[in-house]
Amino acid sequence: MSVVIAASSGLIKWGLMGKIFVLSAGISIGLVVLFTLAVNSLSAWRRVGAAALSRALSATVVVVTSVAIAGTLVWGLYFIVHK
Amino acid sequence: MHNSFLLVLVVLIAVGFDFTNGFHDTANSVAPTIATGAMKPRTAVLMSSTLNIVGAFLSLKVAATIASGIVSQSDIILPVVFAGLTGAIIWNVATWYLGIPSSSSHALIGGVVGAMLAHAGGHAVEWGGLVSKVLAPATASPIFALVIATVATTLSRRLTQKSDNTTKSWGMRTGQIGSSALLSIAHGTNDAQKTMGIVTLALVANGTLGDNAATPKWVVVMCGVGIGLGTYLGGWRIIRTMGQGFTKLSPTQGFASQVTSSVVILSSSHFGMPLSTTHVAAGSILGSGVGTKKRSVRWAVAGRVAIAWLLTLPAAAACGALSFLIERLVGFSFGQVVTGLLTIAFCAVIFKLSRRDRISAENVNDEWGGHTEALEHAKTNETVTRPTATTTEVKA
Repeated sequence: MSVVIAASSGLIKWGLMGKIFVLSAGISIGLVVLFTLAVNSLSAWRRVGAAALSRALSATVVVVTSVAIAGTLVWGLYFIVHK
Repeated sequence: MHNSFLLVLVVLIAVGFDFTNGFHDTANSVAPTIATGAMKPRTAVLMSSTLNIVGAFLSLKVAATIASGIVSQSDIILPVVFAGLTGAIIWNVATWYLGIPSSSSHALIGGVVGAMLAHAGGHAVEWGGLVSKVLAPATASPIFALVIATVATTLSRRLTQKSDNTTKSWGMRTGQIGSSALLSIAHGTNDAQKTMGIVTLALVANGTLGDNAATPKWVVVMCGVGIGLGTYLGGWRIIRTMGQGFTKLSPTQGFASQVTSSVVILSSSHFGMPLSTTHVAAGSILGSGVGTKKRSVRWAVAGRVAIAWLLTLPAAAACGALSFLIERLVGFSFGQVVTGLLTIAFCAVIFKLSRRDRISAENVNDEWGGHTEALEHAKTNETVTRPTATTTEVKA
């Protein structure tokens, strides 16, 4: 009952919570997937006899992922310092 | 002189809370790192401890107080702050003994609310603020983290099905170290500032500092070192529950859960709605268990933790209120000494009890249940040998 009252009285900021959820989900899932692709690419890179195209693709994924992760870390640190 | 004495006691108890905050929350940033073997236990807590201290120095924009918008600021007096802190310490130490990851911030808020209820009654508590700033985020944060970590783990697991295990484990463990470091810095910044806020408030209330004075350097150093030391001593009991109790973590799960925790905490702070690190970290670890093929989560352990979360506010409030009533009964100066000594005695008893089934860096990664089984085995042996000893004693 108290939850219903709280939910309907404007005490809970649904819009704000929605924003937090969408942003968190987007960044977290995106980072994990990119990192996983990078790990996969490294795995492929290590295989003997991998084709040149596959190696080039792997290298691209590793570079893009590294930049994305470094960017997130910098954002995190910048935010921690300046909030 | 009288007020200075009260102030010194408040500062001392605040440092005590800061210390318990550190060792209680170590698990949030390092439990998955230790559980998956990404770092050795001692190395992980040393890194986390150092970064917690660094975090404490990074930002000095201290919030008015931890209880701002929750209790009436004009009714706050030093004995209320003192009683609130003792309530939070008692709850933190009790939950540490039981290996339950509960929120130190909620314990502090609960303690202050309870002490305020005993001091000024229900009108001095802003119930709307309590719902919007504490209860709603407390409910939403573990759910957010659980859902996101479940999706992240599922996708990561599916994508790495054909990868070789050596590269996969190495990659994920490396990623875990980075996310664990970020979590530690964020924790030092957020949680050390709670104590800085409390000490600054006490200094202002006592007239030692002006209304808009900056936090003195000694307060920053004291709080940074306090939380860092607590983190280094490591709440191994809680690390064990987070790392082994909820689910058996693989490097893929560990990485997904730690990235989720870091991002959810930073995103929520970005929008001005700081969430409990403990609730987010626990939700992420549970989500990483749900994301596995077998959905392997020990829901009984999760249920026990959820019950403790529900009890945190009322239990810490009850301790805070009781502490304040003792202070008022005995007289505030002497009462603070009495409640301080009672709190120290309680912590000593719990510490003594914890030595019976000690959990440390050496056995923190034992198979879940294995440690308890070993204890039971030891007790059985003791029962078997005891009659012989008694017989010998009787003969003697």
